[in-house]
Amino acid sequence: MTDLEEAIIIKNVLAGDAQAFSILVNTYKDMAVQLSYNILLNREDAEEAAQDAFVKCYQFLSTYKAEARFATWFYRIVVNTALNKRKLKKYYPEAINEAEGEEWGLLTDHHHEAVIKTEQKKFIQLALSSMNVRERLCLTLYYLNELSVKEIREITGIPPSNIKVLLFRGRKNFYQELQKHIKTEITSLL
Amino acid sequence: MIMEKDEHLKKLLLAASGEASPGFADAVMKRVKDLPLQSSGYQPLVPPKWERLFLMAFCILVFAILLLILVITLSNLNFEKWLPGLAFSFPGLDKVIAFLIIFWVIFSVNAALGNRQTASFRRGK
Repeated sequence: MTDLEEAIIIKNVLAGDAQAFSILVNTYKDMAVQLSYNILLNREDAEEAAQDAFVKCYQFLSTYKAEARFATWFYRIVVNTALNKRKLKKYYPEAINEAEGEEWGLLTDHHHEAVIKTEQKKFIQLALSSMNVRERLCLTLYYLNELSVKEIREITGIPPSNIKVLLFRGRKNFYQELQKHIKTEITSLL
Repeated sequence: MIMEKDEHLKKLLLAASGEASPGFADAVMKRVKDLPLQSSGYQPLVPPKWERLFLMAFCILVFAILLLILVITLSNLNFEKWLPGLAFSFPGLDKVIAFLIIFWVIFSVNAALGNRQTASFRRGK
């Protein structure tokens, strides 16, 4: 969706066409849930936080200024909502479930091929859960949502130099943790 | 430090977090339809660019007035009289002390503003 199309939809919503908001929901729902999940590490809470973020977005849409990208403005709401939820709740991430037998088929590197066949999702979730929330947040925004460092700064308020350090350290930690969990699993099987 | 994109990592993160559940959009729309939009009748008196310009001009004016007050007050204080035990013969002592005070005030304000930016995100894991 282009910025112009978004602007038209927002104008329609503000004019009273609530149904037009569903286009924005369908465009951003996956990204909102993914972002919330990587902060909360709990599926139900992530969906709830993402829903709350959409409701806040709708309520305060009149305060959105077209100077910034809508996505950046909305992600800020998602991040703040998820972080508040995390803060309010004495937080226990969900138990990492056994792989649900889904065929992800996403990995290409030979080092990770074993993971596809076994419990890829579980290992990734374990690796994420052993990381700092700020590292997870920056990794998600940069590598998954493909935002720039400048946009991440606008969303999180973290200075660019710190974002770069978090990205570098987070990426390294993620792969290290992933390898560690795979090795442990293989050792326990042998 | 140039950060390169990592498609592999993107796929891994995507695999872990998945997608929104099928009824997600309906649930959101159900909640949204029950809510009123916050009043959008508000029209600003001036465009945002002008607003920022006015704010900047106001801040500069306030800062200039405060600086003038500080400089005028400090220049009339005559610090040499406060230190009778010390025999300073240096003619510019007042100016040096005034400079040091102003420097530390501005330095402290700058440090406080810098800290505020990151304060909200200092809480760790």
